[in-house]
Order: sequence, then C-alpha cells, then structure tokens
Amino acid sequence: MYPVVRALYGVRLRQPATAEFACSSRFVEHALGETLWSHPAAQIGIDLWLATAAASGGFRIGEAEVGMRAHGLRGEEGLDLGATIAQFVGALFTDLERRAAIWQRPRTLAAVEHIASGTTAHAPQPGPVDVERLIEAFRLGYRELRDLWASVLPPLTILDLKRLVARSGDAFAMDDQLWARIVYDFALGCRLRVVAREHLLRSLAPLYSGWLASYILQVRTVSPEAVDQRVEAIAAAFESQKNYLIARWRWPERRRTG
Amino acid sequence: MGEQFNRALSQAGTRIVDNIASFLPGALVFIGLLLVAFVVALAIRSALRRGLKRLEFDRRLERFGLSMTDWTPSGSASNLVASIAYWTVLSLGLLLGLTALDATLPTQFAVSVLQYVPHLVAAIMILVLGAIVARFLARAMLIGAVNLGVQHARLLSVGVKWLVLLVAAAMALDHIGIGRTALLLAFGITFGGVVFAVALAIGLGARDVVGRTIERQLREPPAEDKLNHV
Repeated sequence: MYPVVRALYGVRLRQPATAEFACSSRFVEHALGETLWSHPAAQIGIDLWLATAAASGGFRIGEAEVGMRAHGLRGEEGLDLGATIAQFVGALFTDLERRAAIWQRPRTLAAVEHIASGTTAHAPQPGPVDVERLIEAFRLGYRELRDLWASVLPPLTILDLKRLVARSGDAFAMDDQLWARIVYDFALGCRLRVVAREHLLRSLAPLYSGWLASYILQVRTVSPEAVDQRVEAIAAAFESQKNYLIARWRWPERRRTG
Repeated sequence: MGEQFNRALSQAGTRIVDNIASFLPGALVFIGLLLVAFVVALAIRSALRRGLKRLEFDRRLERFGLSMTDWTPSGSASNLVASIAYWTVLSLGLLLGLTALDATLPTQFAVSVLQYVPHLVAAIMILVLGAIVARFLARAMLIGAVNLGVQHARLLSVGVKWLVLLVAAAMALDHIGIGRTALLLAFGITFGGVVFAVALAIGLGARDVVGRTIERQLREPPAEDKLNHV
C-alpha cells in the first residue's frame, strides 16, 4: 500500500491503512462529504480511503509510532492469501478509479510530519518464512495462470516473469520496476474489467508470493536501516513507473503492447 | 373419337394452365419472401455487428469469463451472434415462403418447425448460459486451486468446466425432447460412475493419506508463515 499511495498521492505515509487516527473537524466535514461510506467494500477499505481522502484533499498529515497494534478483525479472519489480496488490493484499486483525476495531476512528494508519541515502537520480530514455498507458489501460478495474466500484462512483462521462473535460490529477485508495472497493470485490468474483477485480484496472489520471496531473500540478513532503504527503493520504483500507469490509464487500447 | 380426344386435351391443357395460374402467385410470393428475408437478414447481420462492436460485446463477454476463441474460427462473439441472427431470419423467410406455396406437406413442415423454434431458442439460451457459467466456474476453480497450491489445478478446472457443460447440454437436449429418457439415463450413469470412481480411487489409493490429513487437521493447526500481509 505504501509505495502506491506515496507514488500516486505524494505522501510518505508508511501505514496508509491504519485503523487508529485522529483528525480535525474540518477533515470530518470533508470526509462526510465523500461518497465512500456506502461502498460495498467500505468495511475493509475505509481506513485506506480516509488516508487518501486526506492526501488528495490537501490536508496536513502526520504519523505517530504507537508500537505494534493488534487490530480488530472485520470479516477477514480465516481468509486465504488470495481472498486477503482481493479485499485489500481491491479497496486500493477502487480508490484509484475514484480519484483518477486527482492522482494523474503532477505533484511533488510531501513530507509527513512524524509526531513523537512517547511510545517506543518495537520492531516486529521476524517469524519463520518458507521462502521456497513462496517461490513454488509463484512458479505454479506462472504455469497455470499465465494465460489469465496475459490478458492484463503486456508480453514483455510475461517474458520477464518467465525469466524469473527459471531462477532459483538467492538469484531469485523480482525487479522493483517490474513489480510496480505488474501492480499498475492489474489496477488497469480492474478498471477495464478485462476479466472478472474478483478473479483478476485473486490471481495476483502468486505474483505477490514471488515478489515477497524476492523481498525476503533481499532483506532477511540486513539491518533495519537497510530494510528501510529497500522499502524506499521499492517506493521510488513505483514513483518512476507512475507515468506508465497514467499513459495506460489514458490510452488503454495500447495496453497489450509494450 | 377425335372430338373426345380434343376435349380431353383441352381439359388437360386448361387444368395445367389453372394449376400454373394458381401456383404462380404462390411461387412469386415465395421468391419475394425469400428475397425480403435475405435483405432483412443482411441488414440485421450488419446492424448487429456494428451495434455489438460499439457496445464492446466481446470484451464484456470475456469479463464474464466467456471468450469465443475456442468456439468460433473468428474468435468473435459479435460475429457469431450476427451470423446466428442472419441464418435464423433466412430460415424463417424460407419457412414462411413454403406456407405461401399452399402445398400441404411443406406447410405442415413449416408450421411444425415454427412451433419448434421457441424450444430451440430456449435450448440455445441454456447452452449459452451453461457455457458462461462453465467458464466462470472453471476459472474460479483454477485460481482457487493455484492459490491453495494444488499441483493439478488445471485438471480440476477442466473437470468443473466439462461437468457444467455436460449438465447444460443434457438440459438443452432434454428441453428440445431429443432422446430424453436415454439421455437422462446416460447422464445419470456417467455422473454416478465418475463420482463412484473418484470415491473408490480415494478410498483405495489414498486411504492412508486422507486418514493422515484428517487426523492432522483435527489434532493441530496447519503450519503457516508468521506473516501479516496487510
């Protein structure tokens, strides 16, 4: 969420979909005027949508570290990865469609005020992750869902994915620019209704697994500062590919080429 | 004798002329109806092609999981619909033309075919709906199975697709009354046989695996990566 929100709305909000926030009465009035409340996906997407409403409405945004929080479940308990992605990425893409006129305007990156909360944020302890299983999920997805992906991804991207499938071990690394283009192409696919929206969103799960495996391989042995730098590099890739999204959003008939 | 022969000849000639005179208007109407049907069919085909293209019918169908690439050589649903409309109008024109000929046999044939048309249309609708549902469910099954890590996801997907298509085909054929009893019996036997075969295969071939899986599911929670994806 962070790289996309940063690239499109120009705010360095590390947790754009947070459930706990405080706001001014002016923002309350602004948010109540939005049409997002009655949307079917509002229960999941409301946190993100409020953040993007603030960013796109020109409100001053601050972020405070309050440590690890356990958020209350809102219907996502027991969901598999595909369904989770369909809900959260679906909410993000819905927001993109609604605010297309806003994020297509050129904007400079605005700093977000970091508010001292007095609480020390504990870095999450890394848990055991089976990277090989994630890579295998990606390979299975490529084998079985390639045709479906080809309806939204251009041939060059499919070729890059084919090359990635052939890699193994530490050589398995998904290029940040490639990942950014994939996410943007899926957003475009959802907008154009190329395939049933739910199917398209769920089919993103193996690609996400591939990216996650690549990311874990890159950051599992580095310091927290280096992890932050890695996240910033991903966000920068999403920023540099923003023109790609804008061009395809405006001229979707060119989406199958390139 | 000669006079009788002349009278008979004259009566035969009159009958022939009468028959031709009574048949000719019908034949002319038949040809006229055929020509009108041909022109109307051409116009409808052209209008449908243009209208459906403007409505992006092919892309909308693909959205519902029904791509025509496997079904028509042109791969275009718009062309298929336009062609079906063209031949339907042409066939209706031919049948109406046959009734204009005022011949008993062709008229009976035309009337029976016209009575059959609604059933045929309903059967085609069932088939089209079945194809849409089959493609949609097959794709959902494929994506779901891949996300669950099932190696033979494609096999499951194809199985679901053909199962739904078979049900749709059985329903369509039943609707138009072709081999009703035999068809239902054959479908029941085949479907029951498949289910029985799968049950036997799992029961005999993978009894231990299934047992162990159920036992594991009941005893311990599945091992998951400690990751919060959100």
